[in-house]
Amino acid sequence: MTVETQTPGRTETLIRVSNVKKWFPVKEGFANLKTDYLKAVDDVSFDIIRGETLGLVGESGCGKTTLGRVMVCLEKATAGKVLFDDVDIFSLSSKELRKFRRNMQIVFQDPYDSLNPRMKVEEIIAEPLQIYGTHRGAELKKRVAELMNVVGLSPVHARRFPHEFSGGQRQRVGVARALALNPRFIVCDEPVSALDVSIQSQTINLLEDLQEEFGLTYLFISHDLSVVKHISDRVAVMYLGKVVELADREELYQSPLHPYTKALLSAVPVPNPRLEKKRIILEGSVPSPQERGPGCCFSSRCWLAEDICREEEPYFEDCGSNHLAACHMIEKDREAVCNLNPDWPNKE
Amino acid sequence: MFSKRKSAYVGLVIILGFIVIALFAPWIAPHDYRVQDRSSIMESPSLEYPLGTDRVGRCLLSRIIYGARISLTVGLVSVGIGASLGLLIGSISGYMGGWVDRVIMGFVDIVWSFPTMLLAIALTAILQPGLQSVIIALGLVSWPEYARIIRSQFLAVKQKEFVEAARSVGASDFRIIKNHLLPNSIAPIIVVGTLGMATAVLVEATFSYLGLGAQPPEPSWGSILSMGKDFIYHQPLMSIAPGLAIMIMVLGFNLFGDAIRDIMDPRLKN
Repeated sequence: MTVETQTPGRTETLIRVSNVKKWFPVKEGFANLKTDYLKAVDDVSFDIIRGETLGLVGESGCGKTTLGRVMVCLEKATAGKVLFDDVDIFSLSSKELRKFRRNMQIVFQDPYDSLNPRMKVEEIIAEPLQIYGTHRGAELKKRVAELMNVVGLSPVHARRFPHEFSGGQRQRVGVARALALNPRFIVCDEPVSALDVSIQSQTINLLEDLQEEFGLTYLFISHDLSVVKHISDRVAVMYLGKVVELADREELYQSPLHPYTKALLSAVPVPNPRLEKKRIILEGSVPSPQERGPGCCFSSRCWLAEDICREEEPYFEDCGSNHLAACHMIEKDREAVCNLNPDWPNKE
Repeated sequence: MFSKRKSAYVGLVIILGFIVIALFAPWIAPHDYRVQDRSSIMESPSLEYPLGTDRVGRCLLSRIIYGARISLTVGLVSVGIGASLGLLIGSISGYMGGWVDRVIMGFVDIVWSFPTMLLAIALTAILQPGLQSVIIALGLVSWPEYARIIRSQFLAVKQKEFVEAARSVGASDFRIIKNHLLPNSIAPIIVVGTLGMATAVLVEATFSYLGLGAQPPEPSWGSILSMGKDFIYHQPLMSIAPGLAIMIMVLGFNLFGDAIRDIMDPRLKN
């Protein structure tokens, strides 16, 4: 198998996301004359370093899945740029894009929905190879068997249909399909949230092993903070279509800067009944992404919010040692940067 | 489950039986369906004529046996035309979406709002009466139903993640339709198509009964029935036999629809 192995320790950018927006038009009012926009992803910028796993966390509906889909061109961005190895993937023609897709793949959330129920597993895994015409005949069969081995499935089961497999096995089929073309970047869109906890860890370990073996770069989307902590090198936190904080894993979990991240981390249960936790309870609920006013996206629920937060949108800026956050109150809050959870649980 | 399967097999056997009869009609039928035996007109059943003879002395049994050919041909061809048209138009509509979908569906609504019978009669009037006209009329009238079904299936299946997955591995639109959307959308079409054959058999009989379908001496069950109604007291078999033939064939297609649906679903396979 030919795999481009990345030189370890090279910290160069593989993907640069700049000012990406995805607005869904929502027609409202009499005869749908008024068009409003649902800002699922609103002006997001960050880099992904070659060979790393960037975790993307946030609650349901914050736009993390949309962002992942935009990054592999399954959804057309409203504005912004994604540079993949200096190639502007949004400007590719549809023909060029189809060729380029082999570099970036996606593993989907629902293993029951992401496999065609009328295709055999070998056909599902072989499809990308057939499309690109990389393997034919006996070679194709060999490659499919090889891929099944790589993801821990027995090639004996190649002629089975997806419904004959368990959820975890199906997810492995999805991973095998994503790996078929030797991509460099894989978006893992909540790949384990539909699985049992025991199967979750197996799948995560598989993803980690594959990353090491093939030098893959992951964007790992999840709402499960402990899973993200386990697998990520860096973590980005999303709220209401915005990335509000991005830092190295340890840094983010030990000393979060953004109030939303703090609240999020304080909500994680700690498996220690005697531990008194300072839990931050947020008031109200997440506002609709359609009704967001000016200012900071979190201002309506933030306990630190002042006038400036409701009027001016904070910059997403480096607050030292590659720890980026978007909050006006960070300076004021420096001393209050609390280690909310020193006993952070490790999910192994 | 078992009894349902059993009834489905009954349907299969009926259809296969009619197909065998239609294919081997020249060997099975005791007489030529066109030959008029002037010495035995309106005869009761006998060894020579098992179901008796009609007004011009033709063997009733032979005419009914040959009639299976007409009914099956009309059923298969008209559903074939209607389903192919509907599949093509519905696929485009469901896959493209947007204004293309709205225009096509508007057209479908217009065609569908026409009374089937009236449209078919108008068409046969233009094309002149005969079996071809009945077949074309049925095909042109029935496609909107298939188009609607395939479109709604496409709209549902298009949302599935495996279609996104295919797109993300670089599949072309044609490949997505052929390998992913159609195989997951076709099952209801097969079922509706089988039931459509039952309807087509009935409509053909109706048209031939009215004199708009098969022209003499073609032995359509509808036209035999039409002749039989004049002699229903003297020769009830002349009405009962073609009536029963129509009923059994329609029943067979209806039962067969279920069987096919089960076979098409890999999840029901053991």
